[in-house]
Amino acid sequence: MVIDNDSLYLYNLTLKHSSSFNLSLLGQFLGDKKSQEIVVISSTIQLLKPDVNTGKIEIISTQNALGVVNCIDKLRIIGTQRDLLVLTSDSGNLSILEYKDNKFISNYQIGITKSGFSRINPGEYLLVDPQNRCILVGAIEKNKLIYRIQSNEDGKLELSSPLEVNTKHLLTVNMTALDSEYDNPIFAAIECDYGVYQDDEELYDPQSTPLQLNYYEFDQGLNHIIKRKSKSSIPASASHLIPLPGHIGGVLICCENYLIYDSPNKNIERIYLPIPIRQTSTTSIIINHVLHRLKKNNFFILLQSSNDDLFKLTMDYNNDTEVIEKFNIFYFDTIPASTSLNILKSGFLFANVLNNDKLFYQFEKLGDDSTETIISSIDYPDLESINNIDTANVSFELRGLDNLALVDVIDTLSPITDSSFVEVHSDTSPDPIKQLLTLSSHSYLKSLIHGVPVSTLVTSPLPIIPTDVFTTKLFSKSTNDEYLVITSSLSSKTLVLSIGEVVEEVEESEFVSDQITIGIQQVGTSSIVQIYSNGIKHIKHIKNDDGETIDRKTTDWFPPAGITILKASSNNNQVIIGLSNSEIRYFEIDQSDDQLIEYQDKIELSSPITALTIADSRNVKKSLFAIVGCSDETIQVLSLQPHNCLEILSLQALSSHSTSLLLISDKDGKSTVHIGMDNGLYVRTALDEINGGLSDTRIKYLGSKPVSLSSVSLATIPQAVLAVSSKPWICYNLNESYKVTPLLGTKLSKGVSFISEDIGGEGIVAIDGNDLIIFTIGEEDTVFDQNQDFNIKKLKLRYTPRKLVVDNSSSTATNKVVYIAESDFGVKGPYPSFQSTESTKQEIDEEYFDAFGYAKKLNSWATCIQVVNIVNEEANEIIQSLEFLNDETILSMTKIKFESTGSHEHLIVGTSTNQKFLPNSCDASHLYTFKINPKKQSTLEFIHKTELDEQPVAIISFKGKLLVGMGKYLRLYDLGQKQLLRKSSTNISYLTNITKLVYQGGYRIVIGDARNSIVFAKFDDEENIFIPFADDIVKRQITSLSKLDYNTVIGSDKFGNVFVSRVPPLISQQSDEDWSLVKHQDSYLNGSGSRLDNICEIYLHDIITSFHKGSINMGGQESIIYSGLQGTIGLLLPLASKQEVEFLNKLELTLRKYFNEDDDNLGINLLGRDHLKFRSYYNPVKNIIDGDLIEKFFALPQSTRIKLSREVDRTPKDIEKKISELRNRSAF
Amino acid sequence: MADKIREQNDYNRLKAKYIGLGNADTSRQEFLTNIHRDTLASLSHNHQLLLYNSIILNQNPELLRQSLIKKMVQPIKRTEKRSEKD
Repeated sequence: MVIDNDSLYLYNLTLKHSSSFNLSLLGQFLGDKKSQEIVVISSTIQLLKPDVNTGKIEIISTQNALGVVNCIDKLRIIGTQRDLLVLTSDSGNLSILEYKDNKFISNYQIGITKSGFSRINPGEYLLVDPQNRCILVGAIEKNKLIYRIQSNEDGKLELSSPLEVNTKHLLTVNMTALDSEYDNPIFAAIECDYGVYQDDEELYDPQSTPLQLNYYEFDQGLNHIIKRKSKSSIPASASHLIPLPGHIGGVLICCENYLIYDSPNKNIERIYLPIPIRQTSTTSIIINHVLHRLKKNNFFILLQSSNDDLFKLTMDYNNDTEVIEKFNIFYFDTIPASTSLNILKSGFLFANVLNNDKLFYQFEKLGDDSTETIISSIDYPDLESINNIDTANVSFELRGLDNLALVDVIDTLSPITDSSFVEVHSDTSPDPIKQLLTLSSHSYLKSLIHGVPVSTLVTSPLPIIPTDVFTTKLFSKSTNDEYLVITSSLSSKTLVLSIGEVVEEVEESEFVSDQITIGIQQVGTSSIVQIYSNGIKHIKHIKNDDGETIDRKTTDWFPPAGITILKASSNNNQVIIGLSNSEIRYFEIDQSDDQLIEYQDKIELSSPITALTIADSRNVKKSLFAIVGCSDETIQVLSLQPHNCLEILSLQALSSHSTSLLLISDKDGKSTVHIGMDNGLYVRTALDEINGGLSDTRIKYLGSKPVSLSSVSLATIPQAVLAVSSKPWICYNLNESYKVTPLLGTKLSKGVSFISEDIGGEGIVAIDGNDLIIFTIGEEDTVFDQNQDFNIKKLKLRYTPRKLVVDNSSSTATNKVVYIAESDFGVKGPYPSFQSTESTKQEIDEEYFDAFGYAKKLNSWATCIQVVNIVNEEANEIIQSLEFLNDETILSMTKIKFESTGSHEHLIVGTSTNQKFLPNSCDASHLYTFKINPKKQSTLEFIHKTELDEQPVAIISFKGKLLVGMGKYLRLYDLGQKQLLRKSSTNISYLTNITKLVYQGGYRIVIGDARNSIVFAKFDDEENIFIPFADDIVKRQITSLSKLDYNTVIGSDKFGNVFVSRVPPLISQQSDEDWSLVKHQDSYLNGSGSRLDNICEIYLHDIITSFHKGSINMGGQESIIYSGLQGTIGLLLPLASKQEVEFLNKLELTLRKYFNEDDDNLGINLLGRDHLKFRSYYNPVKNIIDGDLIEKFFALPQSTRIKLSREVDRTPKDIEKKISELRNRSAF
Repeated sequence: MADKIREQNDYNRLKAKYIGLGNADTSRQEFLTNIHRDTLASLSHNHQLLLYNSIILNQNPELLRQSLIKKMVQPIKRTEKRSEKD
């Protein structure tokens, strides 16, 4: 790649993967006989493991697919205990994956079609025969392939060459695999033959024209596929197929309001069964089902309707005569609409909820004692009796959950309709809280803050103002910490408290209480050392036979006169102290009687000691090194080995003096030095175990205050570091990466870990001001989930939110509001209009609507605006709701300060009445003007409304006036007394439907169009119109657009492409300086005279809904944060230098090449998809380096890393450092 | 002449295999029908587009997918074709 100096280079990094799980599948992928796991597919392949005992779901592996998965199913080779995952994807391969070593790896790949998508490419449907004999892959139109599953001599899976069934003019609407036991495999499909409708003679009506039910039987003897039509056609409303277990056979066809039983066996008659209908509705359409087998051929089916209701279907089957006696169905419960349901053997139900958090339920009962009306097929012998049914017989009343109980929730963001990046400044903390607000359909405002929440257990004031805190146990064998020692440097006092059911002062501890304590350590088997400013006190506990302490023997050590102890560090076997004359003294513990033995030598350092540490005795018995920080901005490594004790081994200069040091040795014997510095930096560096050298330094800025570090141990992370600067952070290793995460909801100046059964294990005790705080990490009742980088707070809204406007104007920290436009199609809202003068406040049961949804009504709209205060500490709060009636929908919203009216701010809302889609039409369009009242928490006051002749899809503020994009018109409005006044109108003939407008500064705007991509335009004062002067070179369907600088915009289209376009410098200059040159340029190819430069391009496999500029971490580099419809949150980081671009580009090429050729089962190229082709799905990827691929470097074994890094002329350490440094520039 | 017939036969054979294949004689209506079918198939196939449309229409994606496939039967309404002929 030739690196262009002027161009922009971006680095794409996904911070939160898409969470819209298109598919979920239950299976035994671990091969453990007892447990079942769930695979969910979005842009990643995730394996979820439900814990049967606690009812919690744990994500055990997440792999970025780097491709598009179409369909999944599972397969088991006969004679094995584990399921394999079968999938079709946009690579055109049929991929079979196996779970091994904590990840899926590719087991078998076979090409079935060209890559990409076409309606005749098989892959839309994927069905595995329940007896694992063959796989059917089907396309939307015409083609189907059947592969026979074989295993070769080694027991390895093999697929035969495919058998084809090609039927001209045949569209497949839905397909399923029937359970045929030992007969030939049979597949059933709902299909439609359009051959008959080719010429105009016959008209097809999707509402009434019957569909076909076809059976595809794979004759194993003849190796041939037989296609058979069912006896008669099926109704047009047939949408879902449910195969019944093998001993019964056949299939249930779900139609609107009833089910049909059909069997490939021609001698069996059809059976009809009505579906219960909820009282407030007239239809019940089944969208998914789950069949659960009980013992002895017993089973039941749960069906979910599009109204979210679950029904339980059972059947009476006579095993002797092999005749179906009847089907029974009744109302079971109502849970949110799901794309798939999975029932575990252990009695849990996983609901892969369509538009919200995924839910995990436990069955309380199976509805056996249900009082609901049971509908039986015996009462409805034929279709006519179904058609003439009395709805009273099948309707049921809604009720709360009866048979199911919710046990766990998996937070997801999908779908994000709009988002905003907000910084809230508060009085309590100097650092702004950065949060990403996202709007999610069905219907929430979610605020994402990077960090983990803490739950505070105790807060109590102390008699002294504490400066440091310690915890210790008394005996090496105890598990619980017994003493809590608090010291104050201000009043030179030490307070010893005992930890138990009550915290109380300990009298007989023998500690020195009128001095500042510098360290407390349990040493040997039963002694404690108190290091205080004027000496060391050694206290040995003598126990009687009952284990009670009967005596304490104390020994003292004093420093030379006039010298005090400044710093100390210790472990069970060693104590090291730093004195005020810059001397280091070193002690070891005599194992026989716990006494301290001073090492004869001492070392005097050149400058005062600021910090000191040795390794704690958790993983090593004895620390081999001591790290000393000096005020000359260095740290020095001292040896503690007998042959060269207290010898300086190495020295490293820092940017500031160290205030806190930690040496941590992990289980593998690797040592890391953690340095907290005076200037707020936190540095980690690796310590060489042999020569004491320091290398591989990683830096992170934590805050404006000096950093103090302490080692803490938590239930889920045995070795973490608590770092406190202007705010507290928790730092730990997780899967090859090192996480530094802020703690939310607490403030502290110093914290240490402590263990006590009274709080249920490990906690942290901390001091803040005059208070003592005890807290645990993670929210109450939940385990600390290390995979969650963001803490998500939710606020329920009324309808599907569409647009978010943040009120940035209010300077007070207590009041920051956002305005949310919400609208739902096809439902009727229960709330009264904001304009209604009646004060009848009827009670509206919001919980009812939350559980069961609003009443459906064809072509109706429910719309409102809500005002939310986002500064509230506990939760965001709705302060105003304005309901719109008359089937209006909100299309656009903006905040504006009209030039003509001075300082008042207004909110303008664009609406349309009776909006319909396909084709797009409406009866009327309006602009509502609201005044923002700063005195009343920025709530809204209605002023007037203005009628328009087209839908106002995009509105922005432009130089103190309102700019409205409607159809192909641009209009400028100013505020009037009775309505808005039109000031200018421009018709841009080659645009179709303006969807986005962006103000670039000066007189320049950018117009985003639904079909014709983007256009730069300038407002011409003389003619009072906008004149377009540069167009995009690609025709795109713009979904979002944002300004990068005066000449540059970033945008995205409906297909998932993200691009950056820039006006050529010459044109830009001319448009400002020689406007008449540009203004009168000739039109070129049905557009304006010049074209934009396309400078960046990438495919992201999600529809991007908004872009924001900013940085998630403090003081980070400004980058572009984007949010996608399927719940993706990512970052586009501008690359700093040419060298960096060159290096990353080379690395990307090397990795791409390696992964495409890779066959050593690393679980990286699971789909067999070429990465370059994936990122260039629609347009070739340009100037954007894919960080998601680059970070796969961490998944490689060490030998491969060395091999690949040689190809890019770096060391693996260099590359790892670079990758994590890039991530830390703007995120975490 | 024989070449021309063979060419025609080859074309027909390919057209049967790869639907949507066209040549200079393809009528406007056939071309449009094909484009519409391709678009509808793409809308029903791509998960994110399906989700996008299902949120706007407040309809279940699976039902929307099926209705889009059903639309592929006669993507251009008869009345539109009539008016084209006029």
